[in-house]
Amino acid sequence: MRWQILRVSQQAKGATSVEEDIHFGETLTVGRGADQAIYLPDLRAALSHCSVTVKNPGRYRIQSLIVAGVRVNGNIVQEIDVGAGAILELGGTRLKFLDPPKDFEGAVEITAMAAEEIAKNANRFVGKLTLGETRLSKRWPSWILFSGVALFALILPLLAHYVPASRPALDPLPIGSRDTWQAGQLVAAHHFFGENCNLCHQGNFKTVQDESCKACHGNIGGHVDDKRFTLSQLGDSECAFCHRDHSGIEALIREDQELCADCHDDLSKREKNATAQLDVADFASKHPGFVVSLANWDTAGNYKPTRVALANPDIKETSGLKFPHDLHLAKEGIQGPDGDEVMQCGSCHQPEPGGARLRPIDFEDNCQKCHKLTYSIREADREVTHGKPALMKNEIEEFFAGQALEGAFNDTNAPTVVRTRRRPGQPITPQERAEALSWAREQATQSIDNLFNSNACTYCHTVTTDDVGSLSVAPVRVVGFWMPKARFSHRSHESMTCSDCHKAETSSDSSDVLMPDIDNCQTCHAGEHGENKVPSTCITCHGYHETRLDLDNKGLPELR
Amino acid sequence: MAERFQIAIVGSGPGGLSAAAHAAELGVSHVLLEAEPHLSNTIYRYQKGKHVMDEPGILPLRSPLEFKAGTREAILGAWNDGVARLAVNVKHGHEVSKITAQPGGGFLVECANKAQMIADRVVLGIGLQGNIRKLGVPGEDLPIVQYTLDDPGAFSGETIVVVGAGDAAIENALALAKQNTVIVINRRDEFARAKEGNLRGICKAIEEGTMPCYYNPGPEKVEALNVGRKKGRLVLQTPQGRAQILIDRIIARLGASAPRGFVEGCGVKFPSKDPSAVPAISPQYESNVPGLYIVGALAGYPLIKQAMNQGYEVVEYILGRKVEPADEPLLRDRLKNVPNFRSVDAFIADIQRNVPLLSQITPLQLREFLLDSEIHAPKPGATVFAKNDYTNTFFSIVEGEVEVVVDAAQNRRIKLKRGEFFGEMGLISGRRRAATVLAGPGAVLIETPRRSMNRLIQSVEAVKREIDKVFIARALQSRFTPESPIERLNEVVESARIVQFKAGDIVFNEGDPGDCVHLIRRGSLTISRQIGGKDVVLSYVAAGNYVGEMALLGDSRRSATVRAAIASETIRVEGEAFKRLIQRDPILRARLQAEYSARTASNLAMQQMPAGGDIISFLIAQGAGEATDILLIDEALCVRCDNCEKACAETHGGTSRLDREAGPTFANVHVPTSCRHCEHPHCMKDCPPDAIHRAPNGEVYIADNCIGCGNCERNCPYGVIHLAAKPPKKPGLLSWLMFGAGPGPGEAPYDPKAGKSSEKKAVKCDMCKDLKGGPACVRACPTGAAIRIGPEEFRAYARNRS
Amino acid sequence: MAMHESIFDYSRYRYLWVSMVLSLGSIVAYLWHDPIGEPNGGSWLGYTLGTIGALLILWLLWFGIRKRSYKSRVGTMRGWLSAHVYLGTSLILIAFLHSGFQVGWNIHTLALVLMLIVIFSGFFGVYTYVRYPAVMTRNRDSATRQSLLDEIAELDAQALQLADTVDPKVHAAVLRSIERTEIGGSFITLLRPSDETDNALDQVKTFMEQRDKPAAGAPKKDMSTMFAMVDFLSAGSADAKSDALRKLLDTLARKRSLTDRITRDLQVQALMEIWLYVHVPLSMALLAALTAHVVSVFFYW
Repeated sequence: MRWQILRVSQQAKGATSVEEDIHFGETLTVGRGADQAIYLPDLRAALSHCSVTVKNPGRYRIQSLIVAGVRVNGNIVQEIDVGAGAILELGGTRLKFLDPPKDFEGAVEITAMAAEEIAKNANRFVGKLTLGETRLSKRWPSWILFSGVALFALILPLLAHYVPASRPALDPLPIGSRDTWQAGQLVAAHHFFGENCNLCHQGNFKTVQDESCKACHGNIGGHVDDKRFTLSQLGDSECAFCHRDHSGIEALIREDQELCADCHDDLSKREKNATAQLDVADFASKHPGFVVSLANWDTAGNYKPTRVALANPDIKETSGLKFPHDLHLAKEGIQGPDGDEVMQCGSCHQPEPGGARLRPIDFEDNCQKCHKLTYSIREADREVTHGKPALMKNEIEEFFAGQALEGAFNDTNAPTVVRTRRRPGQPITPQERAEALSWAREQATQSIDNLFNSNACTYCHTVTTDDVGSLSVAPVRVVGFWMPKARFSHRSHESMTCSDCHKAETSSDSSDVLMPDIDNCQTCHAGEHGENKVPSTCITCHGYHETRLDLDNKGLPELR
Repeated sequence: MAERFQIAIVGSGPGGLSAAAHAAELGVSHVLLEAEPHLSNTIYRYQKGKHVMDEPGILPLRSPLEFKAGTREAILGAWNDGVARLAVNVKHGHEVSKITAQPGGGFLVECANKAQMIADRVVLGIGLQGNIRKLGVPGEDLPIVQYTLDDPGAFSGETIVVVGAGDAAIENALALAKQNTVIVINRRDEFARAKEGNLRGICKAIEEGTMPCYYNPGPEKVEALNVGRKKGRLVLQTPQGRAQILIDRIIARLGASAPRGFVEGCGVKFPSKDPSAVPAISPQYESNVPGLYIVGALAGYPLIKQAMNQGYEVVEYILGRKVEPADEPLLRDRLKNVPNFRSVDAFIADIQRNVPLLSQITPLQLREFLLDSEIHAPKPGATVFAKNDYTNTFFSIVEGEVEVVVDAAQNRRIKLKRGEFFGEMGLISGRRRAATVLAGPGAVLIETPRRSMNRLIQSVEAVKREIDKVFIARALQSRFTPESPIERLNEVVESARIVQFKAGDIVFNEGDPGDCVHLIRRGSLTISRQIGGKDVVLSYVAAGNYVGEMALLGDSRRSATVRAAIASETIRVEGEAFKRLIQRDPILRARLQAEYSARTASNLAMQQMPAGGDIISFLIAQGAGEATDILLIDEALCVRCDNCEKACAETHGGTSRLDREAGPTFANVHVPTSCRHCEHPHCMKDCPPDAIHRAPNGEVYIADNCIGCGNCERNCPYGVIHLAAKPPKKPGLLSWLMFGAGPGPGEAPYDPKAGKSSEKKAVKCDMCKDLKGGPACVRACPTGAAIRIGPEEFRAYARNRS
Repeated sequence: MAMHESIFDYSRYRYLWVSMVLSLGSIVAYLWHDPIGEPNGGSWLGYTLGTIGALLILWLLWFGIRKRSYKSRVGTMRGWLSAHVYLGTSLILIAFLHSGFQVGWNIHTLALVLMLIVIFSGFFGVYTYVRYPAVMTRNRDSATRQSLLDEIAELDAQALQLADTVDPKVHAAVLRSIERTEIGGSFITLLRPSDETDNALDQVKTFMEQRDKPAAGAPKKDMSTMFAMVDFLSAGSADAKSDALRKLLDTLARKRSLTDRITRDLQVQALMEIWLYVHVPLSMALLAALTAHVVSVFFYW
């Protein structure tokens, strides 16, 4: 085998000269040993560093003869097949394998490296020394993170807002949807809006407009009659002023007492139309005493309750009933048909279903057990129907008429025809009939008078007899809604006893108003910031949208 | 018979060339004698492509030859063209060896090559470079022997012998050794003259055997070879015998012989032995030898433009014409504020009559002196300079008087009258002004920069004597007895003399008898004591203070050793005279005693904290002794963010003037490579355009008129000055932050070529004097690691750190 | 008197006080404030704290610009960093008070989380700034990095020279170790350096054991430490090869200590910088998240 060996040496001023040499042998050995085909007097080369063989012309196999390997084309290898043009670097020498010229099997060009190149190679073990030189960067991760966050947190949600067509694709995304803009959960009632922010939010940096709310909640009126009383000066008559969403599953309604107190604290001074309103600021410290509605009717017969403050000493309920609570609630009991009976409030006052209020008192259920409406001694079980005087008279008259006509009435004072027992079908003369009915009328009149005027009705009712002897029972006008402007639930006060609030044991007269005044409530309740009491805001008892009490647009009663 | 010329011009430097060109232009018979085969050897030997500046810019050019700032090649080209165009009679290869005045006028000019000629007038324009020393053996002029090296990178793979032991030789050898086989021949037995870094480099190379070195050889001859691979051989006699080296090239860097001997041989007298002294010449550039004129650097005018102007003018003078000097309009402009100004000449005459100090120098020197100086005519009461200013100019009183405020509290003032001078303390010690000076009625003052004044002091012995005497008297007075008249000090002043110490020299030893007091005039001293066999530095005394009074006041033995921290000068006052002064002056005695006890207490405190002393000695070893302001980095705080360097680069045109990493560290105190603003800046020593100044707050800075000669870079022992070109403009910060456009803050330009205009200027720290709030490096340090402190704070600093 | 002041005690803890006042003020306002419903970003205090927080974040981000505005005279960097650290810390509190401690799967919490990561990466940075400078100084021992690298290159050359006088096998081993030595490289090697030089030491030791075998009989297991080798050498015959081997061992050991030092140096420096690669990009993400947060809040007001 013939190897062509070209030694290139650098001359001054960049000129080069080439010496040609021929080597015979199968392998071309490279190293520092004197026996090497290519002798490199360089400590960085081993005595016998590597060998090169020709596989076929232009293809070489380089084999390292030591563990350190040999650097070919920049990489350290133990063994490698290379083509022409491969470069082997050993210390300060560069061997370039060439295509062999004619008559040669192998060719190699040997060049000494320039000094600065050797110096550079000597520092090859020095890699990147600071993080700044490595592929780490702050700039492109910054851009990626910045644009990524901007895309998913800002651009995609905005896209969904402006391009409705994109919503089906964008809204279900776990990130990048408008859902991720929500700071909190929607209230339960609004959950069905889903991702459709636009239902409420118009976007474009505008707050939620009332129109959006009223699309559904249109039938809810304002705070007061807006025809007579404009709330514009409140400046915050928007729904959103009190109603906020995205604060969890429960609707957030503003219920702090300042909401009301801001205006009601000195409303009478600020609003001339509102002079009838009393100033309120705090339940404990600034709240007027309770005012109750007493039942009343005007001359035309329309129900027109009278508002009377509980603090008024002259307050009287004119229910038309006579009912001494103290008698019924006597501790030793009250005489009943089955002996003495101890009654409780609950014996008569039972809660309505739901428990907020109490069921109305019913004569048949609550009173009749003791207060029997009998009119005949002979038939003591027979009672009249309560509540309808005309019917009651009729019942009595019919009873006695029946007795008289039937006969066999065991009374010595009665006429004969009445006492006489007759066979069924035995005729009666008209005279006898007239006589019997006359007796019956007399008996009935006596019983009616007895029942109405002396015995039963007058126990509770006031019965008057007019000039012509017609009886009339005064109407019963028990107050149903004492406090129509506030909410009160007995159920939430179940832990209390009735007498804690209602002084019934000592009330001997049914004109006594047993409703407790504010001081009673204040023993437990205080304003919102009350410390040791139940904090109660205005909304605890009062509603805001109270125009529903006043749907005929005539304004609140006080303002009429 | 020798040829006769009207004018013979020796040397084709800018001055000589310009003179010859002007003579040729006027048709005067002339000859230009040049030793080298090319013109203007000094500039010819500049490295390739070097940018040559045309300072001082204000001076108009008077020459038939063109000269404007540009590359060496352009300038030489223009001159060659000019010489050819004007048909200047140049004789190359004529090295003038002797000039003798002929009886009956004219000179005989003899050359080394035996040529002779007669000239009516001779103009010497040989400069200061002198002749390059050659090998002095046969074959020294062979082409393979060269005496300069422009670019070490131009050679590779050669065997090169470098001859010489100086820095130039060592630098060449080290640079060449990277890609050549280099053999060094040192004709002495060690490299005594070399800079530390060079010395280390070459010793290492020799020790490792990578660079053979022959000491003490005697070269015998150089021969060129025609056969073999090498171009020549050098034969030399070594202590071991005769040796022969086959070589490609010899580079001999043997320095140059100063031209002084030759000039003196021509009969020209030098005013002093100082090597930087220049011969005295008349306003017409005529030396003390009538008919022999001197121009250019030899006459003390190192700048090219000045020399060219002088070349022009000297021909005019020789022809008997009156030329208004080129600087006349400049001087007139400078003097226009002077009351009753008539003419420049009249003013110069006034100065010579009124100011004894300046009466001994030639009008030409005075012109130059005035050109460097500022002339003030301040209103009475105006402040000339204030106490603690960092100015270092020298003032001479031409007319009127000034008042020196000796004691501001008691408003004690001293009057200085016409002909006296002041400001010499700042001039010599490089420290802050000691007193405020106010102008008196009718004051006309010449304010001279320190450098010009120093040049004058060096070249005129009488000036030096006078200034020294006054300095000593005033220094002693202001330090010891500001309240009593200067006459009382006469005895002490008589006994005083100026003593110089090299760095590390012992001023006196612990235990020596105390026989004198040293007032430090320049430099600084350390006071140390042997504690447990170890030298512990107790204190550091800066210029303007004194040492040695302890022994005179109390016990008679020295209680500590005093060493010069840096090259220093003290005024040594004899103990006896000083003791008598103390006896006469109870106030002085009381003051000295107070200072004495303060110092004793402080020394005691320092003794308890040897670490503090170690820090001081460390700082002193780093050259802090001559610093006025030094950058220190606490390495326990430094996070190596290099923000200081970046800030420096960004605030100074893209080149950082400090190297954070370099420099030593001791006890976490790191002294980076950064300017210390030495009280006597080494860089100022040799600045041809006088571009290095001290700003009023003490910053030493380089002005824009720097010509990039590199003298300051070489002179700085701390390596804080380097030459840099203005880098290209960078894109804005945001475009880098966001898009990585261009090099970042403090980074070098990506493409080094883009910023590599050849117009390099010296750059150094200027303590950001133009920026409010102090140096950017300190301001930009995010962790508070970098601070700058002055030497007066060292002690507190050391105490704080230990 | 100019003295080194760290970012903590800058100007007598000025910014510590500022941030404490800010934090305490926020806490007091939060406790005093009685919002409608749960405390949240939508109350007036929420908006106030949110504005303060957002401005703080923008100001903290501006640090990156200010740091590079070397001509700026607005305070010193030391003051800025001190303020950056202290006010950045107080931002945690302000952000939580702003949100009323509410979190959820939304971009608002994303901004909070990003902010927390940025701040805590900053804490790590402060830790490295406190801990490592002194470590680095001690490790460097007054040498510059370049001088260490140069010395390693020199030692390599020396080792080769010595190895050559011993044996070709040792030479090859040394050569191999030189080729495999790597200082620095990728950021992983910077942060967790590994070293190949040890290999050469082992190889040389193995060689010596083999060399030693005929004389000492069985291979000694306890010769695995370098000290043992040195003992062996000093006891062994003082021929030239032993001498060279001893020198070689010294050289390799020295190189090893140098590479240790330099890799430690690089590691320390990398540690002092690595957190910035989290801190800065996430700051940018935070900027985007903050923008989205503010826009989304006011877009759907």
